[in-house]
Amino acid sequence: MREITLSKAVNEAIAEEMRRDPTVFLLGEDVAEAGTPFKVLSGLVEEFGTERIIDTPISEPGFMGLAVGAAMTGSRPIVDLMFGDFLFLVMDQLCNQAAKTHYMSGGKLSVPLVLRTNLGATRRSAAQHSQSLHALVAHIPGLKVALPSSAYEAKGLMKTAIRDNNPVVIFEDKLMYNDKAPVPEEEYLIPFGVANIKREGSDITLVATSSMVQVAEKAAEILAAEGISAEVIDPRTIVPLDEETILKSVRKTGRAIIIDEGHQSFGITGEIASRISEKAFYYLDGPVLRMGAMDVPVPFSPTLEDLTVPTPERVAENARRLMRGEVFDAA
Amino acid sequence: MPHEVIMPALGMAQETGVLVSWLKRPGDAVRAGEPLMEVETDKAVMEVEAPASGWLTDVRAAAGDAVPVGAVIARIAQAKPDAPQAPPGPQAAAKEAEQPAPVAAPVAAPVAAPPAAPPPVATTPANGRIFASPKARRLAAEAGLDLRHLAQAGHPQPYHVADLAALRALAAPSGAAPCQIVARVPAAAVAGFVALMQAETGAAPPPGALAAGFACAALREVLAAGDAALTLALDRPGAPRRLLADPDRARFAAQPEAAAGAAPALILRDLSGGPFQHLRLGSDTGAAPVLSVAEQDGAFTLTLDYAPAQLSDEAAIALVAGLAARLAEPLRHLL
Repeated sequence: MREITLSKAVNEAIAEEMRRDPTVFLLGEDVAEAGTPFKVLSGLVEEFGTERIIDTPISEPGFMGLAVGAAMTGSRPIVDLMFGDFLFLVMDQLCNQAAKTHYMSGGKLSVPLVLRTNLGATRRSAAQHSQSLHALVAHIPGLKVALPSSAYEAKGLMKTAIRDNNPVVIFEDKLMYNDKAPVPEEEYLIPFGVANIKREGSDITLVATSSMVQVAEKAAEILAAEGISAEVIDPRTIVPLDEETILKSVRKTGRAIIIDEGHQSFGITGEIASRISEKAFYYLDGPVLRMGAMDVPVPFSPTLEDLTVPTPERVAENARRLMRGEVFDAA
Repeated sequence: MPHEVIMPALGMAQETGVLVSWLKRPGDAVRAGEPLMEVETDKAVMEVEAPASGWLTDVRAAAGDAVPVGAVIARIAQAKPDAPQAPPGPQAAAKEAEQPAPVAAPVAAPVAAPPAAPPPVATTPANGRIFASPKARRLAAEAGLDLRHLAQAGHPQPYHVADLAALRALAAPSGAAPCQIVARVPAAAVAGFVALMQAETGAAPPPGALAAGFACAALREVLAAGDAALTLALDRPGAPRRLLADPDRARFAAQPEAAAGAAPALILRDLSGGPFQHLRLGSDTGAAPVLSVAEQDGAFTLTLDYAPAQLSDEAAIALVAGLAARLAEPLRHLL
C-alpha cells in the first residue's frame, strides 16, 4: 500500500469531502495562499477557490462564531485553528454555542462543524504553542473529540468528522505532519468510538492517544525483549470513548497504564484510569497508572521540554514496576 | 555554470532558517521544482523546491544547522559529478551539537536513575488488613483460599495473582486431599442443540436442565444404576437448590422434583452464564460429589470435586468423560 504523510492524508480527506459535498467549506488564518504554517492545506485554494477556502483576519473568536452560524444555517464549515493553544480564544463560540445549540433548540438546529487544530510538545515552540488541550473540550457534553495517531487515522477520522452532524474537534499532533503511514487509495471512513488494538498482549494494557501511541508501541517492543507482553490500544476518539475494548483488555491483563500528552492532572489519563477502576476493579492486579505531560508550562529549553512528556523508556519502567508488584505511593 | 542553492527568506524579519532535512543526497539528480529540502522558520516547517535541474553538489549545511538567509548551502551542477559527494563534514556536525535539533527531540535526553523501589510491606499491618490486589482477592475467594495464611507464613505483602501459587502450596493439606478433575468442552454443539430445540418445540430448555439431564445420564451409566431412582441436586447462583428425580428420563422442560429431603447422588452446580471459570471447593464435599459447570470463551469447564469414599477415581473420570461427551454431542442424549 502507498505511504503518505499525515499532512497529505488530512489534505486528501478535506479535498475529497469538499468535492463530494458543496456545502463544505474551510476557513481560518493563512489557510488559502499559505496552506497553513504546516503546509497541510497546500493546493486546496487552487482547486476550490477563495469562496470555499477562506483566509480570515487574525480573530479566532470572529471566524469561529461565523462558522457556528454557517453550520446552523446549512453549511458544513471546517475551522482551521492554527495552534491548539488558541482554543482559549474560542471557548464561548465552541463550548457555549456550538456544543449546546442542538440541545437548546430542542433538536431544531444542528451544528455540523469541524474544528481542526493540533497538540504536541517537543517542537521547541514554548509554552503558548505547545499545549495539548483536548481534555478541555472532551469535558464539554455536545462536542466529539478525535485524536488521530497516524496518517491512516487522520484521513478516516477527518472524513467521518466532516459528515457528522455535531461539532467535532480534531487534534493532530504537530510533530507528526511529516510522518508517513500506509493509507489506501480507495475511500474509507473510521467510525467514532471504535478503538484500535495496535498490538496484542497478555501481561499489561497500554492505552495511548495521538503520538503517544507510537511511544506505547516502542515501550511494548522494549518490554517484549524482556519477556513482558504488552497490549497497545488506541481509542482514536476520546468522545465517544470505546470503553468496552479497553475494559476487555484490562480484564485479560489485569494491569494498565494510560498515556496521553495532556497535563497529567485532571486530564484524559485520569478519566480513563477511573473508568477502568470502576468497571474492571476485580480484575486489577495492580494500580492503574496515569502518564501525562508534567504539570508545568511547557519549557522552551529543549532539555527540560523533553523531560515533560512520556517516553518509551519511562513507560517501560512503569510497566516493569507493575509487573514486579511494587507498591506505588499515593503521590 | 552551477546554480546556487540559498537559504530562502520564508517570513518577514527572518534572519536565519533551520535546515530540517535534505530530501536529496549529495550527487542525486534533481529536477527544478522538485522538493529539495525542509526548512523551519518561526512557525512552519516547509519544503523548498530545487531552483534548477542538475545534480546536487557542494552541500554545505547539515540537518539541524541554523543558516543565515541568503547563504549558499549547496550547488546544483549541470554535469554529473565524478566522485561520490561526501556529506557535510565535522564542522557542520559541531554546529549541530551547539544547536539542538529543532524537531523530533532525541530520546537520549538525560534520564535520572530510577528511584529505588520502596520495599514491599513485609508484615501484616497492626490492624490485620491484608494488602492484595482486587484480582488476587477475587481469585483467592473463588478458589476458597485465605490470604491470611500467606501473611501468617510471613510471605511479603502486597499480594498479587502471582502469589496465589504460594498460597495454594500452603493450602494443600497433607492428609485426606479432596480429589478434583477438570475438563474443558467446546460449547458450540450445545448452542446448536438449544437452537434446534427452540425451533422444534418453540422454547429453549430451562436453565440448568440440559446439564442436569446429561449429568444424571452419565452418572447412571457410571454407577450402572439401570432403572434405579437417582436424585440430583441442582444449584444455580441466586436460585434455591432444586432436587430433581431422574432428570435424565424426563423432557428438559418438565424434569420432576424429588421428594424434599431426598439424598442427592450428585450435586450439580450450574455456573454457566456467570463470570466463573473454575471453582475449587473446600475439602468437605458433603454428602455427594459436586460437579460444577462453568462456561466462558465458548467452552464449558467441568470440575468434579469428590472424596475417595464417594467415587473411585475411575468412576469419577468416567463421569466427567460421560458428561463431556454429551455436551460435545447433545443428540446422543436422545438415543
